[in-house]
Amino acid sequence: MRTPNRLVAALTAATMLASNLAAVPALAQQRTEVGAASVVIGDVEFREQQEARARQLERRDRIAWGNYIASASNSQAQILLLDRSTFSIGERTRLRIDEVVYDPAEGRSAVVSVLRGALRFFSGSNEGNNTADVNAPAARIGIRGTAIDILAGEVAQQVGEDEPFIENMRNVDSDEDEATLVVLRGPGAQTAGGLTVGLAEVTSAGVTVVLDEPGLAAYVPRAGVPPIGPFRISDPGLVQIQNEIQPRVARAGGGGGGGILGALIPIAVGAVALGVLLSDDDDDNDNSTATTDDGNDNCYYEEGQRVCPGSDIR
Amino acid sequence: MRIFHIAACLPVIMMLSTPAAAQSLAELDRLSDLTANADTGVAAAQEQAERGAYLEALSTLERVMAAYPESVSARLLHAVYLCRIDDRQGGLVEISQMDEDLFGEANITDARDRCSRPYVEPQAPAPAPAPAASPDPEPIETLSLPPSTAAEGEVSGKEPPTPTAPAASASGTNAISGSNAISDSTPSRSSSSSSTQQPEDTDGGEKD
Repeated sequence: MRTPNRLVAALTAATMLASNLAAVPALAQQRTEVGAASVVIGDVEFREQQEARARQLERRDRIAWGNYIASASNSQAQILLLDRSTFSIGERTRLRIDEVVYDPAEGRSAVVSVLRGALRFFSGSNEGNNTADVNAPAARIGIRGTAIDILAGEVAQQVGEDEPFIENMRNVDSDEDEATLVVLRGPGAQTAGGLTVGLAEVTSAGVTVVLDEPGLAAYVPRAGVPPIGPFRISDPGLVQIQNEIQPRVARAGGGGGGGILGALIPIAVGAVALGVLLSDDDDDNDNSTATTDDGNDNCYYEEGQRVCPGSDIR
Repeated sequence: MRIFHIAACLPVIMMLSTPAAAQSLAELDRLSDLTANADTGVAAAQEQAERGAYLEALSTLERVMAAYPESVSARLLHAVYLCRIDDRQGGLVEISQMDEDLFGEANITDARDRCSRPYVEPQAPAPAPAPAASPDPEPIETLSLPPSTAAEGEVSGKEPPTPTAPAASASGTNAISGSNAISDSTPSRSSSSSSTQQPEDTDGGEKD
């Protein structure tokens, strides 16, 4: 008596499985677009999940689930998600967009994987329940309402092991492919604008370290070991991170008198007044003539001549 | 020059006045279009900051800085906005990377000063009084600013104040404060009472 029922159940299950399998190719072709490339500088490759061949990422390119993005040296990009959150991708970075779900009424959830390099995340809309998870080689980072920097791989090892806190420890054995460094940048408790105070949870080997103040960091030297921290990132460490995420700013100079800024002295100095830029502090708006410092393009003035170098802005 | 600046802001005001709920890929394109130009990008960031959307403003400025790394305006604002979200260390580090010859001593002093003290949100302007009731009204600037910001413009010749940021030092063992909530697979979100972690006490499980 029970055998026929079992047979019917097995047939039903097989039919459902077959119909599901038949639906897979259609689903695989469906592209869930969750954002767009908002700036692309230099060589940044982009690959769809189902494609073997990569192509140059261009500004306004749509970003979808499963997309891979890889930047070369002295290159960078920013991905703007529908809720206006952003992922800034530094040089020599590889990133995969695993899943992003956004509902203006409910909030946003995002899962991305950083395989190597430097990543900065800025949370967008302050409304709804917004969460994001970043899978790094040696840790999983859960973030909320946050500005956060994440380094993965060799660059994380370089910056992490130079940190005085890590240097003072014994027997830190880092893996150059797996090392992960996480730095919370804000917002802190004293934030303006009523922003959600940032928080990041760095989990590895079943241990979670919570970062809840700007400047706090956690370092995971390799997969399978607990995070080290929290500790306060050093100023030189922050400079290195900034240089990885904004390589063109680092190369433009400003700290050593060289680079593009060096050629801009005649129009840069005195052309900008911070008090004017900060118009919400309009205590000194009326006594300045400052307006623009850099014009509308990538040109600059050198010895009185307007120079427009070949741009690699995509 | 002032007219040019207003003209640069007009498309920004028009584009950013879209309701926040009307998020779409096309709107993202419009946002990125704004930062394809340094002036409109900086203006967009200023508008976002005035709305309190500082993280958006920072993202906007980073797009400008990527395309126009020579933009003094973008870099100054980026540093100050970092301080506004309470990342004073990050803001001061960026300011420390600015060459006085390029950014101007007054700007750097001003930026450092703004980063070294808590930001006070400007109050909404008071309603304009009726002319008959107040023939000589106080300027709105004075009304909308707290006393501590009234002299911010007078920065020339001022000694840079000692930063009060959590960690502006570049060397030595880093002080640890804040959270140290370490648990087995149970993340803790209450961490203000966390203990201080010393390097000698913790090796993070590293054994060789």
